[in-house]
Amino acid sequence: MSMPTEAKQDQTILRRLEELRDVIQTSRKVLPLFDNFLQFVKEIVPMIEGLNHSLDESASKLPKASTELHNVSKATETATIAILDTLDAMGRSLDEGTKLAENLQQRRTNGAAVEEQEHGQWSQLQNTFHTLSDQVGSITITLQVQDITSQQLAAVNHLVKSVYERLSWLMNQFEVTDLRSLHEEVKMFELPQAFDPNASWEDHGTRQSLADDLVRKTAAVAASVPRAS
Amino acid sequence: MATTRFLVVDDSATMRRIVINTLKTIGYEDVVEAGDGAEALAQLRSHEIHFVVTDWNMPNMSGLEFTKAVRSDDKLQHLPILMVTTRGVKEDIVEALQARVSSYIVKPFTPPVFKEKIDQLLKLVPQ
Repeated sequence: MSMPTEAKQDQTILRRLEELRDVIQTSRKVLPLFDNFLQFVKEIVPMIEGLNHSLDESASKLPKASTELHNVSKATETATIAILDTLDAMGRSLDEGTKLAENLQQRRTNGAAVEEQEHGQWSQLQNTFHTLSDQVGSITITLQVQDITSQQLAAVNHLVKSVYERLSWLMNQFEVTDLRSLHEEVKMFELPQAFDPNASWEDHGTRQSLADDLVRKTAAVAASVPRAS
Repeated sequence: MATTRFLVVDDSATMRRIVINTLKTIGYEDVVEAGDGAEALAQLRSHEIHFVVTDWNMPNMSGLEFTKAVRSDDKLQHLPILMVTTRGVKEDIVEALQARVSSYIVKPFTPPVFKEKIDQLLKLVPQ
């Protein structure tokens, strides 16, 4: 037996009302969450903008840092070459002085009687020239520090470049449109330098001893292998 | 041989200068220079070289690649190659020796060590 039409309509209305009540109840629960989300978005947007600005500012400073490193390296090299020029000139003057002192001493020794004291002074003068010459040599050798420092600077430059590339990637993710001449700036880093990231000034010979030991062992192994006749 | 001709290979002008000065101090005046491995190979083709002093880290062609290229030439099997480099860890030294450098000096070097290695290697050269 079918339900009368009016009763059916009543049931439909009741069901709709129940559904509406459910929606209202759910909305009551969701609304505070939605408010919180809106609040979160309001707070996060300025933070993201600030982050964008920081990224942009930091990234724009890195090429300058790299250029500065390059300039320092070049200036140190130029200064070192100038020092080497001066040391070479000093070395030549000292050689001339030593020869002159030797000749004078020889001439005096060959000539009339030379007082022993004067003879001693000529020897002393020669020794002084030799000592000065050795000291010039030592300064020259110490200038290897320029090569080591330049490799250390190149290693730092490489790190700066990596950070810059990472920041650029982040800026792209945030769709920062202000990528001013990004590619031009990256080009500044392309300095043709091969370097050892672990270069260091170590003058107590530990690493040289290790090298000597390995060279000896390799030579011993090579000597023990019978040669093909 | 009348005089020993050296080939000094280093991308640093300062280091080339220091090595050449040190060679002169210990009595070797005949020196040819190169700024990287590729240039050094060209120098080897155009000069008779008796001894090579090479850096490792160089652009275009490293000292290690240069050594391998030299050793692949039958005529240059006995050419003394002294590597002078900042690379001082065991793995690097072993790699260089496997590439058949004749001896190895870690920068900064001292003239006595430099002379000692050259003397040792020149004694081993077949006359």
